[in-house]
Amino acid sequence: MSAPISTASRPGTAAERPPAPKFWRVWARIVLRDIKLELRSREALQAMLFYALLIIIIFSFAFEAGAELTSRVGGALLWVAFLFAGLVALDRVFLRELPEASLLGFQISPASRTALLAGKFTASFLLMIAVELLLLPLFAIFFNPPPEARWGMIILVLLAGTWALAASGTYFSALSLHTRYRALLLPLLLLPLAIPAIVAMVQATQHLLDGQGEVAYWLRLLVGFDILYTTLGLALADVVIQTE
Amino acid sequence: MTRYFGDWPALRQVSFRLPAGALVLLLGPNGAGKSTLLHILAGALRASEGEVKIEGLPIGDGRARQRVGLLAHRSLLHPDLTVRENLAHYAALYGLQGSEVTSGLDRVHAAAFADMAVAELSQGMRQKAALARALLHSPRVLLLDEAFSSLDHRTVEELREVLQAFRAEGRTILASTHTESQLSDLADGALELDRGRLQQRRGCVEAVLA
Repeated sequence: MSAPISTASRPGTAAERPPAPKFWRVWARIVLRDIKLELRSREALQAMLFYALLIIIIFSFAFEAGAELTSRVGGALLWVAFLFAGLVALDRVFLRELPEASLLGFQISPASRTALLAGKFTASFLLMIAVELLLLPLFAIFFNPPPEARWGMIILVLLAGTWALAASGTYFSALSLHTRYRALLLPLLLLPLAIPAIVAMVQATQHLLDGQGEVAYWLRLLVGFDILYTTLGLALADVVIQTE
Repeated sequence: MTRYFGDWPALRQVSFRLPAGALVLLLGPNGAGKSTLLHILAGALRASEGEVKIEGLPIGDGRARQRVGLLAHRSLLHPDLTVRENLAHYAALYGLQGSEVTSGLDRVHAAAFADMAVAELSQGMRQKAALARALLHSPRVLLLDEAFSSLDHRTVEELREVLQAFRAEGRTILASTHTESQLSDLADGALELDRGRLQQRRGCVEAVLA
């Protein structure tokens, strides 16, 4: 191993040095910054709404939507729309840092990379949930779900399912950032890994729409995936937040 | 220190030591490894072999990264945020109070365009804002990566004044350039890289004993 490179400047006193940045302050700053940027540009928000609405409308015309159909396949239709909308949001999580290399500014700072990934994940989750809550009433209008549908629990499944997608998707969004086929790579990496969670969220939503079947099992499974994806993603933040 | 990209060695056994308060030029043609070296010194890239120490602390340590500032080709600022919002973001990343933002803006005479979005700024204003960002946390070492390229004479003069004041406080500057730069007359020494190898140490730059 070669000799160390060093810059032997005058040692700074402790008083000169600011305290290490707090994890929660960095996290909150990233969340607020990303939400502010999205509210200013509305790029992802508009694209997400457009894609999801398009899917809902196309399916509603294709299948002559009604309570009987919704109780059979409504969960799958809903999550297809939300999944495509979510991919738009996840694709842009780190992409917006590229024009002036603002991600490099983060990498050279003393702030925790886990706080960056957690902040990005939280902002994506909030954005995805906001779009889903806007689309849910439209889904109800177009697909006329049966009166037994348990909407409170469906929102709970939306929260848990979106958390799983955002946690794993933010990680892969960072990982694929500097690759040539980024837009292709993100769904290719994310969807196979997220399939168990997707099955759980579709099954839970389906049972809640027709008011029958075992929901608790799928919900527990979904929460398990939430914990797994969040823990793994944050533990590997140092590896994934890298330069080109 | 050595750095590989795949099998290709971008830097090969580069080793040096900079004294406090020095302004040192990092010279070499395009592709010599200057940016790679500066990115490693800033903590954005890891060395494949060897290590970087800033005031005795390894660069992987957050306290070492707190001692380093980087002014690169690009501003590292988000174009859709104002200069003030960008600096407030960096203040949080470095554990600083929000009040430091105003003094950071004043230091580089950037208060006049503090509330403009970075995307609306001219190249010179953008580089001043970037310098405010790089100096916000009062680093002990400032790394300049071709920072003066494509700037007009007046902006270069203004930035030189800021850098001279920075150096007068006993802080160190390492500035990369592929030609003799606008900082040549201020330099205390130079490092010359070619194809990843350190060809020459001049002036105040010291060797490091293994």
